[in-house]
Amino acid sequence: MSEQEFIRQLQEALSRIPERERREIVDDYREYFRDGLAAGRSESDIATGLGDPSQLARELMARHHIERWESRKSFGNLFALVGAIAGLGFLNFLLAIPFLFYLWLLTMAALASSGILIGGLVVCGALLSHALFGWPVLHEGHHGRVVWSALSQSGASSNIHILGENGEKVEVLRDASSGRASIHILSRDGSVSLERGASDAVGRLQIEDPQSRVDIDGLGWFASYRGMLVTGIVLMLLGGGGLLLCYFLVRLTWRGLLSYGRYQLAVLGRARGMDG
Amino acid sequence: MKTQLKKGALDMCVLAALAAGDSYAYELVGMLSRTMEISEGTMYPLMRRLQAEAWVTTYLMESASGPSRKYYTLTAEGRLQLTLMQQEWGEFVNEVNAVLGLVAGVCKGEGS
Repeated sequence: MSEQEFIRQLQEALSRIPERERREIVDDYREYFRDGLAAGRSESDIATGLGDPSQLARELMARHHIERWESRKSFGNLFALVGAIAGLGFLNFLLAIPFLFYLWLLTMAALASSGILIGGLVVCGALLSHALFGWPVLHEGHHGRVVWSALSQSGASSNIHILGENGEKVEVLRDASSGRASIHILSRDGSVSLERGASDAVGRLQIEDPQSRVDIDGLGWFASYRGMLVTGIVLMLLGGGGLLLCYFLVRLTWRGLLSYGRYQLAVLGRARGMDG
Repeated sequence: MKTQLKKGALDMCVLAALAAGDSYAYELVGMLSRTMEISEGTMYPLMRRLQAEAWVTTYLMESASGPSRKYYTLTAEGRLQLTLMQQEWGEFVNEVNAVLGLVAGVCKGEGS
């Protein structure tokens, strides 16, 4: 290989690193060729001694990206580093695909955790601000309670039964002693029940058909201050815990990736033949 | 085994060569290859690594023939590192020699 060809291949393979750095590397190799020629060697002899320029460039690129990633940890630099390591060999390339997927999952998990944490903070912040400044105005279980209390004020005669021809039934019932009230809609195909528990805040929704049943307890839970506070704290704990976990995973991944890159470079150094 | 050993020792050899005086890549390869087998291709990646460790720095100097040349020079940190490496190397060689001597003695004892 001639000097010109060697330099051309090197430049081409280094096209993705900054101009200044690339020129410096190319100048180094030009200088080496000059010195070799001055010592009476042929261009192809020197080129053979220096090794495959594209392999050399891949190694320099990987080193460049490791240094950049160490000086500034951004997503762009991380993906460039993964790409550079992938460029070091076919096996690395295969490994990079699940690794990038893992990085993507980690990113999503971090975003989801942040969202949950922000949700928790907003709920708790709103509660705190409401308690301190009376803003925002919170309606504690407002809508639900109006309906139920209107129902409970109208006495035992407020029980309503509507019967259909084919066994369909709509009932509105109230049990004065326990304070329970409920609405049932029944047909042969299934039923819908809406129930108010002993405490005003907690209700229950049940939807049933011959195949399955959906039960939702604790309706209106969120509409009480305590429910809001607990919800907010749980959200904050979940989001914070998730973020912390993501942070540790990311730290672990960075370290692993860097050591892996360095290890690959060391392997390459040996493969290139320290023994000449 | 030899490759592994040489990789670690090569850094020390280059630092030692630079401790004797500033030099440029082609001269360094020539100096080292007089007594040890090294591939020319390893020199630049190695010099970049030493630079990244801040053990060496570079400067350009006009050469008699043609454009300027890049010279490598040891930093204070590089000099310190060289001392540490030489110390470790000496200890390592002594330990290995001691073991080899011991084993040779045992073998001789069994033989007689």
